[in-house]
Amino acid sequence: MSEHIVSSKLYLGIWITLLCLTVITAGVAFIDLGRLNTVVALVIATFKALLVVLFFMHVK
Amino acid sequence: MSDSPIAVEEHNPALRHHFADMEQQRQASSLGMWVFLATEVMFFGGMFCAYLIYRYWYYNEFAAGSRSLDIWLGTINTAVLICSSLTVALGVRAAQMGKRKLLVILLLLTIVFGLAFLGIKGVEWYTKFQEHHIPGSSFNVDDLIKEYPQIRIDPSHQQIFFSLYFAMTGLHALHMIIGVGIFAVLTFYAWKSLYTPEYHTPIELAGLYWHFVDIIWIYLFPLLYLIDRKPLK
Amino acid sequence: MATAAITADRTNYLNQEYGIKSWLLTTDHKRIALLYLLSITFFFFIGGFFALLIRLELLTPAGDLVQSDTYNKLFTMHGQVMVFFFLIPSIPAVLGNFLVPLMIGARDLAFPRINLLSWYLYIIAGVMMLHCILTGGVDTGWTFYTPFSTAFSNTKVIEAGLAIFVAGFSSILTGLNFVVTIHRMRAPGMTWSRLPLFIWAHYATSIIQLLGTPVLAVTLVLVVLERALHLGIFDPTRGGDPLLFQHLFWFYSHPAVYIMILPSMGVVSEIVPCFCRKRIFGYKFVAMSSIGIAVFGFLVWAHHMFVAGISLYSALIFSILSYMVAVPSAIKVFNWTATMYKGSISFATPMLYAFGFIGLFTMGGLTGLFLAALGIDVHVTDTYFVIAHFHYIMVGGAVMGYLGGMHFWWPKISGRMYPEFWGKLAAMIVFIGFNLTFFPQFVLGYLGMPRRYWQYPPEFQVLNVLSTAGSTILAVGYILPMVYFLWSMRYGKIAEENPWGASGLEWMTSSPPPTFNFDHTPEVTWEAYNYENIPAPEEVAVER
Repeated sequence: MSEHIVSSKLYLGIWITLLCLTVITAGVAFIDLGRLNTVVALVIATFKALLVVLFFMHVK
Repeated sequence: MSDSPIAVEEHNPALRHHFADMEQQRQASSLGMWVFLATEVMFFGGMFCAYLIYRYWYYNEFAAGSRSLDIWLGTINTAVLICSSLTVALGVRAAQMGKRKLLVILLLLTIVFGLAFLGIKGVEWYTKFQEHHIPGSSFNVDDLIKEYPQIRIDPSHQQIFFSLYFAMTGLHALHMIIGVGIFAVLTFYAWKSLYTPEYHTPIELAGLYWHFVDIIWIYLFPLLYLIDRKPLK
Repeated sequence: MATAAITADRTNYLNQEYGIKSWLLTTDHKRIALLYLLSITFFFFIGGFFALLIRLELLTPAGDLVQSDTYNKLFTMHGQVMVFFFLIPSIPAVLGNFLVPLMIGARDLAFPRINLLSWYLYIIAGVMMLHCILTGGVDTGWTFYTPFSTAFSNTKVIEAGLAIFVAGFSSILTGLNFVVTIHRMRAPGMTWSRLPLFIWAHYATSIIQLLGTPVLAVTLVLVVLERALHLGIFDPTRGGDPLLFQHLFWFYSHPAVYIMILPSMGVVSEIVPCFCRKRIFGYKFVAMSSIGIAVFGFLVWAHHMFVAGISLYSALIFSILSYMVAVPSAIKVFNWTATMYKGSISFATPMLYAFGFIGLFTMGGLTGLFLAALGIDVHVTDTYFVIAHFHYIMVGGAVMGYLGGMHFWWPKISGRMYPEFWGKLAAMIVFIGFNLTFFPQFVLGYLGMPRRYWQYPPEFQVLNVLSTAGSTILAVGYILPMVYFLWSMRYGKIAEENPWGASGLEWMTSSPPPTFNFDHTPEVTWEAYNYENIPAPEEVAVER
């Protein structure tokens, strides 16, 4: 768990990815995918959560 | 590991007496925060469990309730929170590098984003209050019944949706308020140059907490706002 | 092995500082342990007072001492006070607080100020509970079952719920402190496989406190909201589900039983090797069974709901899982027994309590298997059989372990020996009183006497009189130690560093320990319970 300083570019990259995923998840909700709507929404949410845990919370 | 408390005195003044060195202190604090977050998962978990069951039972009411929420404000709020997570992450980085001014600015930005989130949430709640969608004696969902004739709505089941909506977003907002308070204190200390590249554990821990609150919202957003947005037949 | 010579006027945690402020603002884990000791003893006697009133009412078949409403409040508040304000904090917050840092060679818990905060939360919760009791009390049963608690009861449900909510956070913070301390504060050489089993038990307990208590907290929040605002979440007339409440409640409250019993098992695992002068049999199995109990404990909650209307299939699964908890519990009992085999056993007071624990816990555990069996459970649900079963676990198990631990570590805590004769006498009185109180209840329950009624048919009277008589004997057994512990603080023989010849780092510092526990951070180079290398002290005569 020793400290290493991550480049701010990586943070910005994660941030942009998270914003894009937010827009995507809101957009996809309007398309009729049947039962898949919920699945897609939760997969995207989990992916976003993973990004936050791995990079922002320095687990990786 | 040093043996006697006297040897410890020479180290960093932030080192508390019962730890052998800064590394042990940092690791203990960090583990403590992670363990605390695990309890938080269970704390929200009870509500998510209730949500899951009632969503399965009363899907119609959950769908209608979800439609009545403002998806624009919800999406913007998600973005606001993600921005605040970025400023926190950059703030921790600034603290690691000992950039005091940058740290203070980033912490202030985090507070601003946090307050913006709470403000938008407040607007949403106020709208719900005007629409009589707050559970209680004046709860009324005739507007939803009229608006979505395709969906069969039972008012008391609809009230369960809104109860859970307010309980979950309320609990989340409470965590946000606590977080903003913590960051206000940390900003003050950062401005007073309390944090150094060797000692900035409080910033790190507050960061972990804030990211966790962000993650809760990342799940709340689809679970509350995006239940059923597809075109009605 | 750094040991300091003991001098009579040595500074220790008790005489380092004086004055009320030095206690109320202390961050020393040992002082906080004593603060907890005082407060939980207070609540133990409040809960015990209710218990005695219950037993007095049940002396006669007619409801002649109290009205039914009062009776409902009595058993409710007896349960809530005993569970949340005595049993759950008992061993962890008193003995655990005192011993966890000492046993692993640390100067304090990882977060001393959070430790103090946890005591203050407990006190706030306690004051709320007392206020609730004094201004009318609550009558829902300690389980807060909905919709009675949310829609019908006209007693102080909200206040009791909030009190227990706050107490829950006190418990979470204690668990958090222990987990971090055990992970990060061990002395050099104190590897996981050298940890005392008391530490393993507390580690498992803490995991349950951390993962279970928040669920209870959020459930109580929902009950309070439901009661105040009529949300409908647990109200069947509005589409809510009372069974959901039961699931959430027991998801915490079944593991909570293991919060009470696991630390007791840890105490027994320390006492048995010491008074048998042998290394514990199967160290790894005993350690892992604690973790096993914590894990399995989370998977069995619905066995409290077999007659509540859950599906037969889930009942079947929960029944099987409940049987499986018996495996790690039995491993412990077998290992303690195997440790005694060919050991040179001395019957000192702590060992008497350990014997009591093993016997009574075995009975409580085996009757638990009756209840895990679907068919028998339907017959004895909500009868005195259940009451007897969980009192064998919680009083026969948890409280026996607590008292055993208090006697075992009293020399370390106070620096004085308690009077051995009175100790043995009290242990015998507790054992006899306990069995006389609760064994008749097994029979009563099997004959069909339901729990939670203030009246009963006259044919049950003989057994009820026996039980009430037992409860007064038990009360004497509990008051005695309090008297002679207090007496010993002034008149007891000065305790040596290691009066029992026990293994473990806590015995390698003076009694009572200095504020920072050790003069030098100890370095561990030996395995736990290396009794081959520790001479038995002369005082503990080997009596066969």
